[in-house]
Amino acid sequence: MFLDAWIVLKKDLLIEMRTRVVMVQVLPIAGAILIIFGFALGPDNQTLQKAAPGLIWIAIILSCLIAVERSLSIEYPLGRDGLRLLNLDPAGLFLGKALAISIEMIGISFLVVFGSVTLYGSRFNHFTGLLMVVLTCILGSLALSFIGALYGAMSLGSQIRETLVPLLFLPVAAPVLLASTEITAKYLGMTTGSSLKWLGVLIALTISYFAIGFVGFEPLLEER
Amino acid sequence: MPYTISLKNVVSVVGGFPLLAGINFEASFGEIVLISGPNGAGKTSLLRLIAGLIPMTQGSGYVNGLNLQENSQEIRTLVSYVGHRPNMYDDLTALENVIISVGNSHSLSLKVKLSRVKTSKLKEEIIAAFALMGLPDRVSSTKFSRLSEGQKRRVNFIPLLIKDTKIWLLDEPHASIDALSREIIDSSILRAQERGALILIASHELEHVQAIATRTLNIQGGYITSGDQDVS
Amino acid sequence: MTFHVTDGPVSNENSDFYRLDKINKALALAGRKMWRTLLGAVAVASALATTVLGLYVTPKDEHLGNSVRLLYVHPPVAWAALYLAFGLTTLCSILYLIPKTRSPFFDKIAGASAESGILFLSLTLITGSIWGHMTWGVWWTWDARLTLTAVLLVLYLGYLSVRKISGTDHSKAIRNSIAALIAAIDVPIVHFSVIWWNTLHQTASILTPNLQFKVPPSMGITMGIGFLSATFAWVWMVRVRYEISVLEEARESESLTTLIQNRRMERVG
Repeated sequence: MFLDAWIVLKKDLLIEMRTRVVMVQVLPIAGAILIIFGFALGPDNQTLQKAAPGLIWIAIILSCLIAVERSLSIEYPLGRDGLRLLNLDPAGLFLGKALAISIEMIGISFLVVFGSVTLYGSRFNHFTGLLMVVLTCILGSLALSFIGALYGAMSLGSQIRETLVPLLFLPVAAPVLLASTEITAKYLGMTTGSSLKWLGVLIALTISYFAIGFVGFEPLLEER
Repeated sequence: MPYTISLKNVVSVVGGFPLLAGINFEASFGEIVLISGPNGAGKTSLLRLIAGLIPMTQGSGYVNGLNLQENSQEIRTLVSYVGHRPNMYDDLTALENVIISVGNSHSLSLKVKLSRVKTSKLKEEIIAAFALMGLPDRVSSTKFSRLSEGQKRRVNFIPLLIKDTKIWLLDEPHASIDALSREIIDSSILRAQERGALILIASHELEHVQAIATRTLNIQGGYITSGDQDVS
Repeated sequence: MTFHVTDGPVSNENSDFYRLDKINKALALAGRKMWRTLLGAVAVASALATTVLGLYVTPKDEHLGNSVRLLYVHPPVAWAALYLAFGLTTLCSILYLIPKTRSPFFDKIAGASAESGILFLSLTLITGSIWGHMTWGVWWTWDARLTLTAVLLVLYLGYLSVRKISGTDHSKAIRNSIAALIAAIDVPIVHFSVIWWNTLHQTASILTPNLQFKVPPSMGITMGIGFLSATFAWVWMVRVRYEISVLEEARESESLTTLIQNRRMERVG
């Protein structure tokens, strides 16, 4: 299983390195989202800073949706048949696909946070704040990628994939958005109080989305 | 000796359409069976059913003693299906693609895995297979999308050689490729037969395939109309 | 041109179509039909009773005024949606995923139940919104329960879309069950995070209306009947929807034999 996960992960990242679709398309989209939020909310830096935690995570969730779509379109030439013919272990395939997306998403989320710092003037309240936001980005990216990869497999080969994935993905991304936004808000100095509870929520989400994907991928890929 | 592939009254319905409408078919190791018939008759569907890619709605089917309905995953490790479209990623090189197909845990039996602990040995074998398929070294490091149609088809055969599968399901293996590629593919098919493999070829090119096939069957309307040993 | 349709019989002793035909016949039994009608009648009657009692018999509340009458509708439909409908969908999906209890019956019931759940959940949102407008003067507040309901609605609309993806019966049912399970697992997570989020951002205390008013017996009875009517209506809907899906399948399967014959006749000579 781990061998197969490694093969798939390596393959997806290799394809990304050759084609750079996520880097030159998804990342600029995330940046554009930050900028149009700026347009929508006006040039007042204080408003933007107040909204920044939410905007950061909306930008991350939307770009994750596009990254999931890209990850599916890599498999498109093979389709579900081709994937099954490769005889990869389904759990390994899930892990590989999800980790490839999450590596891309972790990178994107760091850059989105950086974008918020430069564009909106967000400031971390102290060094631990930076570390906590980094941790949040990692956990959030993992949770989103796990559920994204699973829903991707669920809609693979369906004619309504492009519209179905966002419909399925957004409601389950909502708790990730809530938790991540609250933690980010705290460490960007927008709210006070403990964020440990939210960290707990985020960890629980990451684990449960991982577990669902791990168990659910095989029956989704099979056809009997 | 029991048949390697044995299908009885097999119906396969996908999306409300019966792709296969009651197939009776048996085949043993060492045969090369040509499956002929018009477009949309069910040639591809028959191969895909045996590869465990489409479901068996009715009837009974066994591949190497394994039930098609229950063991489709195990069956897929025994058979190699080569479709019209190469099962390879455009943005990877030919070599990388082959490694993905043969290097994963299900493709190699434990014994083989243990004997090939060194991946370098596996790579050597793959390089040798490239040579066997008449593909020069530089092809292996070329992006798959840049290869010619014939080269793509030949690369697609390499996993079969490496895995040494005993059941080959070939869908139009000769369509739209050059004479050299055809020749090389034919000789690899014959070599596999010599090693005891069972090869099913769905093709329009009757004359060409009949030259190497041990028997021909005709399929029409999702149903075998002639050529099977016992239509009951 | 000759057709050979007689050779190679299409076996159907153990086919789905044959079984479904039997189910279909069983369903058509008059007794069953009567039960269904009776169920529907009880649902309609209790709904009428709730309407009459709720609008004309029960008194106005001194604090809440006429809006108190929504209590006879809103909690019952919320109960039908959240506990009955989605509860049954989850239960049936789990039962399908367990190989021992796997049966196409559970998949159909899960779908039927979720569909009625969407209806009741929409009603919950609408009545909740009306309540909000009457008591707080706004159609929408970011109240935890209201937010949760909205997310749930999207979640189960997604589930219904998943049910439309094509595939074989079994792979469809598996996919549906997994989607239902994800939704069900997500409910408590969304629930708690929304509540925490809400308490964190709470600005006004009007969000939790003080319901400690005196309940005259007529109100209690009306509310009880309201719950009964929502429950009966839900059971009736699931039943009818289930029957429809059985008939749909039976019709498809019935034509399958003809389809197979037609497919075989495609051949020439």
